[in-house]
Amino acid sequence: MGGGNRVDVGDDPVRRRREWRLERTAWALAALLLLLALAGLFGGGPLSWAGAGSPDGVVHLSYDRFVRGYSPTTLEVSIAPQAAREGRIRLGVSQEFLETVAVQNVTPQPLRVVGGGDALVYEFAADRAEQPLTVAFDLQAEQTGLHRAEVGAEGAQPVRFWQFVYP
Amino acid sequence: MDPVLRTLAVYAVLLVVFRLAGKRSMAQLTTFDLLLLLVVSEATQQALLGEDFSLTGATLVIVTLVAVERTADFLRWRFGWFARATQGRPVVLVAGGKVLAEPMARNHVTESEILAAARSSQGISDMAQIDYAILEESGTISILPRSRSD
Repeated sequence: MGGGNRVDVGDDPVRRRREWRLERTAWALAALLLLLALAGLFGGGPLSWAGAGSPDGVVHLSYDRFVRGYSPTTLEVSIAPQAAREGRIRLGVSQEFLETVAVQNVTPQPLRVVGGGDALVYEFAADRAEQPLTVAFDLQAEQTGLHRAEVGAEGAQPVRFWQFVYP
Repeated sequence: MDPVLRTLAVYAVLLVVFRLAGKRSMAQLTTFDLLLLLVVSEATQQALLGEDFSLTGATLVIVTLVAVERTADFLRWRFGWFARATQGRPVVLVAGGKVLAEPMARNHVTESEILAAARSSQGISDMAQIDYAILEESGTISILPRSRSD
């Protein structure tokens, strides 16, 4: 090989070791991130599944505590039969919350939706008097950040909850 | 949780498909292979993200993919059986100047492909000048020329 077998590639032991340490730290962080993601910190897992009920037990919610923006999420509201008035159940959802999401679908379909004040009122038929009514709101979060919401049936105490939306 | 699990599933599917397709499937990128690759990635994208248009979702998918690939690399380095299972082993196509018909046929390699590899990597134009030709795990063909003293 002629004049000597040293190949200079600009290798520097100190810098190399520093780079390795940085890489290892990044890997550990990535592993931690994925574990937290699996646990549901970024939506859709045990950390994210949440429920809340009104103090009088009439309204109960199931929702995601953590949601990713522009991806689907469901808010499920269960209303006890004693909230029915003349065969109707009226469910109010705070306007402030509805402004941050797009409501894709409401199942069952409300008979009518009335606006006004600080809440939108969805009116449902309550044909079966003994069973609770479960309403599913298919939502898509459109504004990132922390949102507070209030859901309540007419004649019952409201439920408050918060939801965090990632960008 | 969702994007991480989806990514793991897609990675597993791709790994199995391309492992079973053989070493040669994507090693030499012809125009059509490139098109196929684009279509595959297009089909994969739906499975990975679904209706998720968020930055967070995309970040999770990317981090998962890189982490899985790094983990697979580590497992290949640590466990020989894992490397063999996911990558296979190199196959000798020409040994001591002799073309081996069976491995050539099994891997669908022709003599002209070996000569093409010899020309581009070694500047060799003749089969007689080749000592060994090996189909590597990556799907490329490496050529060991016959030394001049032979």
